[in-house]
Amino acid sequence: MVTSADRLARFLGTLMLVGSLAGVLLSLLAVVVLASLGEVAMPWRFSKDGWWAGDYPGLKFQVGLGILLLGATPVIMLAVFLTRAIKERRWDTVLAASGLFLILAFGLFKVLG
Amino acid sequence: MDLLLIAAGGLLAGLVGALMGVGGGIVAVPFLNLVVGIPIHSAAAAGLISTLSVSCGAAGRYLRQRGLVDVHTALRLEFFAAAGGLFGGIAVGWLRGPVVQILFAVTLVYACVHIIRSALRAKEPAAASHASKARTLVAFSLCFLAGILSGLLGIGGGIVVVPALHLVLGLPFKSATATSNFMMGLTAIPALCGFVSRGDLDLYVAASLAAGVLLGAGIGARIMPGIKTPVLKTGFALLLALAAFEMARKGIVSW
Repeated sequence: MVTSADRLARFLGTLMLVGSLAGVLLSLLAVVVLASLGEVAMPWRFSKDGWWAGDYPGLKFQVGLGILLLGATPVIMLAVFLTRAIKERRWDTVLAASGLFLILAFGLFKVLG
Repeated sequence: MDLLLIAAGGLLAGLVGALMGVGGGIVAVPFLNLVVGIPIHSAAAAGLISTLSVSCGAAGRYLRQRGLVDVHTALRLEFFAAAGGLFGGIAVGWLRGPVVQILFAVTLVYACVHIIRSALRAKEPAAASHASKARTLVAFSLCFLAGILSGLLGIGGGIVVVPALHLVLGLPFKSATATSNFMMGLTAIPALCGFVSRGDLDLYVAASLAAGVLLGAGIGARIMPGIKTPVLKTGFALLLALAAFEMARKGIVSW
């Protein structure tokens, strides 16, 4: 018998696969085009000050966006788990997931600060 | 040319990662540092992207298989792993390149021993019979350590997390591997924050490596059933030992 927990796990599995694949393909596609345009200059730092500066800002933005999507995929999954745990009143899971969000928020603060 | 070389390194990392049951970082970071010549801090940042990519792909597949990932245990342990990852990602900025290289070499030697031992074993060791409070505390500490290693060196930390889940908390081996894969991605994100704040993440390297890793992991998962694992594991362990030696030599020379 397929339970709602099984359905949620299958949905999140698909989300992880699709999210990571989309993120990687998005950035790879833009990198290939940039390389064919002779725009490869290492190091190209990923920072909050605008990684897309210079020529071809759209393509450069797309590379960073792909990496961000890859990073956001597990966070979205975590948010779904948290929402579900709140609905089902499983407070130990809510506590664990909230703690994780706190650490992620601190990390984000480090990047933006 | 460099992009193709990096993508090829990612392919190799994804392939052996899937065959050996380790994250891509343990192969990708030495490859980027020793073969491509990327500074160790940037190589570690890219290693975390490779870990993230492997984790998302593997966890996506494992979550779809009923009961394989112990989400409840993973989330409890992940708090400590993520805290360690955040600390490691920040702390690596205080360390000079040669220190990180020597630390990486020591970790590679540990990974090497871990892989040879698992290759020589006829079957996996028995899981712990129960998870007492003391064992849970040990598992929390090990996950924190794995997180620090992940943040410092850009690896997934599975070589510490899988034994913690299997031998300390008593999860079946297959479930421990799947749960560890699920956790790795969530550890890599706070660790990456430290690297991004210092400007250590190179987008070209990250994008090329992630694509190679994803492809390599897919191929590895397909060819795995037809491969004689003990022989392959021993060969891979020797390759890691060679990388450890070269990494340590480079670290000592540039100290």
